[in-house]
Amino acid sequence: MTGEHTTSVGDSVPDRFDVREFARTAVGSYRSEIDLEAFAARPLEPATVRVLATMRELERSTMTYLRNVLVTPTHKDARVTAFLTTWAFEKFWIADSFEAIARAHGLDVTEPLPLSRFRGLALELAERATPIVESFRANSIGPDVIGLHMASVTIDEWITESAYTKLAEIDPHPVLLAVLDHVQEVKKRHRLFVEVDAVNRLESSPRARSLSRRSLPRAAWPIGAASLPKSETAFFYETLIDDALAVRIDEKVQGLPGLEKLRLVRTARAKALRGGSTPTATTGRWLGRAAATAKNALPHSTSTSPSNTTAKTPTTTTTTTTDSLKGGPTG
Amino acid sequence: MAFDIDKYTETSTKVAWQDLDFSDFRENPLPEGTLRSLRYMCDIEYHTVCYLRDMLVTPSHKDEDVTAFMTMWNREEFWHGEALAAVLAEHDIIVDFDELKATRLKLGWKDRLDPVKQSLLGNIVGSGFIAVHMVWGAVNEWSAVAAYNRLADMEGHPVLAELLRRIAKQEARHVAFYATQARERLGKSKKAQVLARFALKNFWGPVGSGVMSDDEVKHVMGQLMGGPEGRREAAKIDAHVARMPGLDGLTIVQDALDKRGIAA
Repeated sequence: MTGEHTTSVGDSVPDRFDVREFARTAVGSYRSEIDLEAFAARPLEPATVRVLATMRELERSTMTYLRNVLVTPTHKDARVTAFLTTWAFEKFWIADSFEAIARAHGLDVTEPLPLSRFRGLALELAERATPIVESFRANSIGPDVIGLHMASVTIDEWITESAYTKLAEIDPHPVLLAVLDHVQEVKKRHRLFVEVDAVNRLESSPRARSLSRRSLPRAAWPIGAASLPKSETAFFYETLIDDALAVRIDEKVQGLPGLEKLRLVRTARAKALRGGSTPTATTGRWLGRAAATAKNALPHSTSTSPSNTTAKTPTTTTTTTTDSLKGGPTG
Repeated sequence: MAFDIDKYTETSTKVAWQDLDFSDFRENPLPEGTLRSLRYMCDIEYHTVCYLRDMLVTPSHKDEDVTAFMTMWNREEFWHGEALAAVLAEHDIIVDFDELKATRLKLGWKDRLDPVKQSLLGNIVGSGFIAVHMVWGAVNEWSAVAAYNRLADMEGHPVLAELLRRIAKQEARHVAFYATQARERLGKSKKAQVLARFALKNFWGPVGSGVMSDDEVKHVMGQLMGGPEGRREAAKIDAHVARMPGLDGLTIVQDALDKRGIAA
């Protein structure tokens, strides 16, 4: 990496996060570093594999998030978009690591996610409308919306950072620990950028603060949860974010300028747990299909059985409601 | 020919220029007209995120392969911007993020409404609209490959030529993705063919028109696509387009040159 020609492109304010350096040293595929063979001798807990499938989906949801963010004035801030370009790249490869681990356990997480017909239709309608609505709304608000976007990524990073720390505690498999260390290291730089940027923007704009106060509670947390099966969001909270941890993350959120009264994570957790973490019939079929696909693709796979992976045998179909904000708050 | 998305993502990399001797530009600087074209190309590469946005508002944002491609493509194009900015910097032309922001601000209402229009169209027409985006992307990438290679040939500056060919090589992989997607999607749907034909015929403009001023568009088109050689390149791009299902007879690139009075 050394010796690369650097331009004198104006991102050189002292002590400011160096977006150019971040882009230059972006971290790509980690797959070859993962000792997937080790899972044959000692597989991960089935619950870990299930939650990794969820994390894969969340880390991979950047394009859906960008879709709603880029129709707003945020796309005009070239420093922010330069950051988001590399952010999406690094998250893609984090997701890829989880995909590799899930596959080594006999689960093909690239299978399209199952949603009940009603929820699928509702999401489809929301998805179709969101960029249009957001574009009008956010463009009438103006650049203050960037503060909201940076705050939302910050909070999402806090939630996922806590989740990975917890996951390392509950399943301290050496290979998983190495992967999670790597992931936390990559995400540390994301936090460095968005935390400072969010604080600066919220501090300097009352409109950004009030917009964030109104919009953040309406979003699904973590970002991307709106398009997950409800059972998997519930399982995420049940496994990784207990009430005390939710309180601690909320305290960090409350430390952001103007957001002192928000209780985002506790509310999101309570809402998710009400639905229950038993996979619906549709989700159960998906998990079964994903397991079958991976097995066919990998003759020597070190799979656990699909029923192990789903943790519980699906028996019930829960009624679902819709989230109109897909992919996080946008305006 | 199928496009192997896994192979593409695994081998996607930022374009390298650290091994090239850029100090050569200090001794053998590029002429004014070429710097102007490079500045244009640099801005366009940095603005890829705006095209990404236009793509994402259509139903294509849900497809695993498409999103994987978009993630890598967006980053590769950003690095083309960085590489060209490095060349410009050797000529004391500084392209910084704040100035790009100013360019995007100048886009004004036309730009603000665009994603809405795209989204409405995309959602009314449904997945057929993805085909339009794919063929649109293919034309733009064909244009980019032609433009970089042509500038490399014309300028005859060994360092610049090497950098531009490296960039063109990456653009050629983008062509492969877009063209494969477009061919498949157009082949499956008569409706998509009709729509793509209509959209290209009526709305296509050279890469960068809409973001850059008309004067700049004319300068770059004149330099790279003007004259017999340039026109031959334009005709080749049109021939690629015309081989797509349902798009025979289209000459959108040559029409765009005629419309702007670029000498043949």
